[in-house]
Amino acid sequence: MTWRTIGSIQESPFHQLDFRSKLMLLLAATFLAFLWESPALTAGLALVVLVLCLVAGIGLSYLGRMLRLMLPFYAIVLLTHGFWNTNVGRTPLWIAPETWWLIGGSLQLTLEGLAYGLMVIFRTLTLILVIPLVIFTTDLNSLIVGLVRMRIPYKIAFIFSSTLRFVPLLLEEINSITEAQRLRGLALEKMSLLQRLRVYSRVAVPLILGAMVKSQQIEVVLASKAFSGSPDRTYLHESSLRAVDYALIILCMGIVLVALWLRMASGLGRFGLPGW
Amino acid sequence: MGEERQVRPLGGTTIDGAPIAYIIVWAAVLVVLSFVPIPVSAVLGIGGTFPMSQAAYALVGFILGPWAGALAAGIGRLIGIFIAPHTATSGIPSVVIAMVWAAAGGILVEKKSRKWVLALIVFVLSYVAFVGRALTIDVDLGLALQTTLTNLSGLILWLLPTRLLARDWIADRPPAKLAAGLALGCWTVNACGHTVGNALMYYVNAWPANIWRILIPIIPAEQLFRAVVGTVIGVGVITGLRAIGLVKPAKAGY
Amino acid sequence: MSRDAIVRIENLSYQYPRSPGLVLRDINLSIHKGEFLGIVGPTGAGKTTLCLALNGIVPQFYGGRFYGHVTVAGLDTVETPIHQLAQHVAMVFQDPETQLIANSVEDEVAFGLENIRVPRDEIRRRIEWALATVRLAGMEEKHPTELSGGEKQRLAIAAALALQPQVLVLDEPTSQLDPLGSQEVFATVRELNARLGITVILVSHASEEVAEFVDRVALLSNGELAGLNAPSQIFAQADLLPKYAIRPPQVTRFYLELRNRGFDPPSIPVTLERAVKVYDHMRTQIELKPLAVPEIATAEPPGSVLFSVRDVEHVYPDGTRALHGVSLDLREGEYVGIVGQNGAGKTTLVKHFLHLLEPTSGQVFLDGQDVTNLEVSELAQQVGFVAQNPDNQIFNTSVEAEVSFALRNLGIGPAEVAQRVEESLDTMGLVDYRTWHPLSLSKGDRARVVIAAVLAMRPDVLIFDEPTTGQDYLGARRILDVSRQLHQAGKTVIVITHHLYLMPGYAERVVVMGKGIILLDAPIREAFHDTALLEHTFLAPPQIVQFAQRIASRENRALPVLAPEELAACFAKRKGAG
Repeated sequence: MTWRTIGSIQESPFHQLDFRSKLMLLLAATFLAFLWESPALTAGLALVVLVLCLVAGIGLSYLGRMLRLMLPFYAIVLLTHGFWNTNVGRTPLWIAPETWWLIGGSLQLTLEGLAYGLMVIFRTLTLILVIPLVIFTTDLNSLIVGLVRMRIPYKIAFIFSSTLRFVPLLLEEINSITEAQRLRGLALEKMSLLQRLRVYSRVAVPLILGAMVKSQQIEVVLASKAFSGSPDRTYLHESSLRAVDYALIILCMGIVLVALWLRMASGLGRFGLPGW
Repeated sequence: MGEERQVRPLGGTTIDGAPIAYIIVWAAVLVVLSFVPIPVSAVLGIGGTFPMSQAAYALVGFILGPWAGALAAGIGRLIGIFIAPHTATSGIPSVVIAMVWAAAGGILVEKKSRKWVLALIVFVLSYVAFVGRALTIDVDLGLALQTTLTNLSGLILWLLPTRLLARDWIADRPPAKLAAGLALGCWTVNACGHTVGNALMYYVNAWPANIWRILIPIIPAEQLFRAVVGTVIGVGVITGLRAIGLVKPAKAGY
Repeated sequence: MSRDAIVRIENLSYQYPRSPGLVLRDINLSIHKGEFLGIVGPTGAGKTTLCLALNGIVPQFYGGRFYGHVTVAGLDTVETPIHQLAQHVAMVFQDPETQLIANSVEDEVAFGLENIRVPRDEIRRRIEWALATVRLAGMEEKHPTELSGGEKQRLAIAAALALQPQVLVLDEPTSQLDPLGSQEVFATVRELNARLGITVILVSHASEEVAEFVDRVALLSNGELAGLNAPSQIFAQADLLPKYAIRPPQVTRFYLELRNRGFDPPSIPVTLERAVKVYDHMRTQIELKPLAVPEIATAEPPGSVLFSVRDVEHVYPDGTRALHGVSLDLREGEYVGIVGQNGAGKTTLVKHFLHLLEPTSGQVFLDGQDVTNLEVSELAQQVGFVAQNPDNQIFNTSVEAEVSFALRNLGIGPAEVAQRVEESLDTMGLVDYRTWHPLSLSKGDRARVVIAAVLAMRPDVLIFDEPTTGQDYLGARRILDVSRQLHQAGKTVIVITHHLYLMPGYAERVVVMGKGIILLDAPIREAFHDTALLEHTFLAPPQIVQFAQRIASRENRALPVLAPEELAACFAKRKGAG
């Protein structure tokens, strides 16, 4: 499993940035997404992140698949806020005709509700897109070295990279486990809800036990390769902050501080529509 | 027979008493389980079905202890986000939630530790922040209490000696007791973790009062499903671990 | 004791913590610089523990009780930290998956070097050298999942080599590989020993290869060193199999059998080349009897067609074309072996029998019905599939619950369930274990639990996918004996394997697959003697078949034998000879 295969990534100038500066970008974007409630600002932020993703060479197929999978969630968000969020404003766009049973005349779609729903969508888009933007454009080794330079214990950085190594292995395992379960006559459609849950959850049991047995072998392998978890080791790969990295870090911090100050001082970023 | 030698077993590398390789494979397991949807189509919740990994975060805490469990959960969730982005709607906050869930699981089973008090404070503050914000928007107190009944039950079960009961049952041999302990433990931990999660999620998406009404039956149902799945997995895994006789992490609760 | 010993083991005994007895007892062994030592012994003899005692993992990692002294390159393994020992003794393990822990080939090689603080430039140099040595140059950036099994093990060897150790320990490095991967690994190890003079310690069940490559063999049994000698001495012991559960090379068994039959071979050879030479010496004393082996059967098996595979192609979602137009008929009551390298399409093919996969084009019929019209849960009651890893097929907390799991899922009544469970447990000899947790049993017994669970559905057909992988010789035989017993009870049996030498005595018909097509479909005698075709797919025919063909060409007649005993039965004393 490599970044290239998951995210269908192409090389870009963004890859040259150090992990630490990109992490700063991630934190800044996450912070701003929380800070701002204005549809226009969150839309702008999501757009910036999306453009960065494209510039960074993240494949359209990955982004497309992701959006497709998020679509049901977005639909629910939009509908619930559009129809029921009466707290933010009540400009009606459409009212259910009086003749409709129960909801006639009372159920209405509001402009503000829709806007709020859109804001939520942009917000979550930012939160999600920024992760592949940072992770996929960072060579795993630079990521590890970057983490170590940030004084994250080497053990933790090591766990991160090893987990990635073993995910594809366990994916294969779970396929063979679910197959074995089907071969034992498991026909979910014929079962009650709780029974289905009980039987189905058992696919996780051999997966977890098998993984834990493997981990004993991994420990022995690690010991035989002189691994001790100590950060006192050399690194094949390097990680260094260049001027452009410092610039990005300062820029991110600057934007966050200014945004925070504006929000407190003038309320910029509060929910509202343009022209209010 | 040769002369007996003095041996000081060093063991492998550990974090908070859990072998590092356990943390690695658990993180990988949690990534993989986020691809396995629980076939409960009736759950509205967020995103329709819920991934099996959600039921396993408490369990990783029971097995690895608080810090190691949180680490496995956090890394597993983080990798899950970019491999299966549709399972997370909130990016980094969902990583925090997974970590809280696992840490709560670890704290629940940890003996001779005062961490549970700290956790309780976090849970209560989260509850206050969550419901408090809702009250200022468009939710009235009666509705808020009804919808968050599950969360309240978690806080109460955490505060009362039921927490210790769950801990002792999980450590006990008979499978029925183990199952009861896991069910109680999963419910408590998930409900408390859910409170912290809601406080964060409600900041991202302040869902309107009408949704709160719909959520009244959904939240307990979802919690029930998570607890059932967590218990079934937990019984299988813990009895299996006992049968194989694998090295137990220092802060394991079984 | 030699002066240039690099490894010195004196009075070594060891007991794991929380376990009852000693795993190693009073072992004394010196290994010379540049030596190639083989370690053989059945499962549980203590081979792995002995390997781990060489780099201090036993006892420093595990703890336990350790007696005696082990010194490697002058360093005591109890007193020297593991990470320091790791620079002198490098290890390669059995499972290609768990021993690769980095996300690229070069990082894998670099990992150990980084841990012992080798400077960056030196790491670069060593990566280049180590990868070139195992012939993986140019693969630096690849992810381990992109490598074949043989390449993975060679990478593990490269990572070990990069540490520039004096001793290289390989613990069953080929037991999970297909024949092609095994050949790659054996060739690499042999070259390292011969060309670089690295001391090699190799644990293996592959008797033919061990006999051919190593200088000395250490025979372990119940934690004791039961023998230490040249392979020609160790493997020629007549009681090797009955006493130590170790399979001698097939040519050795042939000569031992000849001796049993009253012949007098001048020596008992352990390698193919020696065996041919000894035969040449004996030619004056022996002659071939006429018609000693059964003729190659050509008659169609009697049963009606069960599975009919018609022009099946299969393309996986990632674009891999696994099957290209396979057609095949399998009849009721047959015992068929499907052989081929990994990636030949064997498992893909049988998954179509169970509707676990659907053909991209073509059709599979079971009793005339298109399989794609049937549910998996329905098919599973007729066709039992025992998949590769038993542990992935165990879901319950007791043997009894495991065996009844499918029946309960299928909604069968409790009385019927109880009866079937009883029957199944009885067939598999598991009655005494019914309340045990399946995972507390040995690997061989776990495999039997899975077979029992499949049998409880009373299928007419049983498919075994690589049932002998990771088992020692007796373990493998025990599982195959079960398959034969079921076949004799009237079931149709299909076994997927790349262990060709295990098939005689079990399979009647062999289907050879390669790269998604059927290369040969013939009775086993014919298939195993089509050596040109087998070698073309890098499937080595069993050693006895190769030997029989060498004799056959000398004697100018066909010798379609499959087993050493069969070949021995072909000979008579030449009249007038001493």
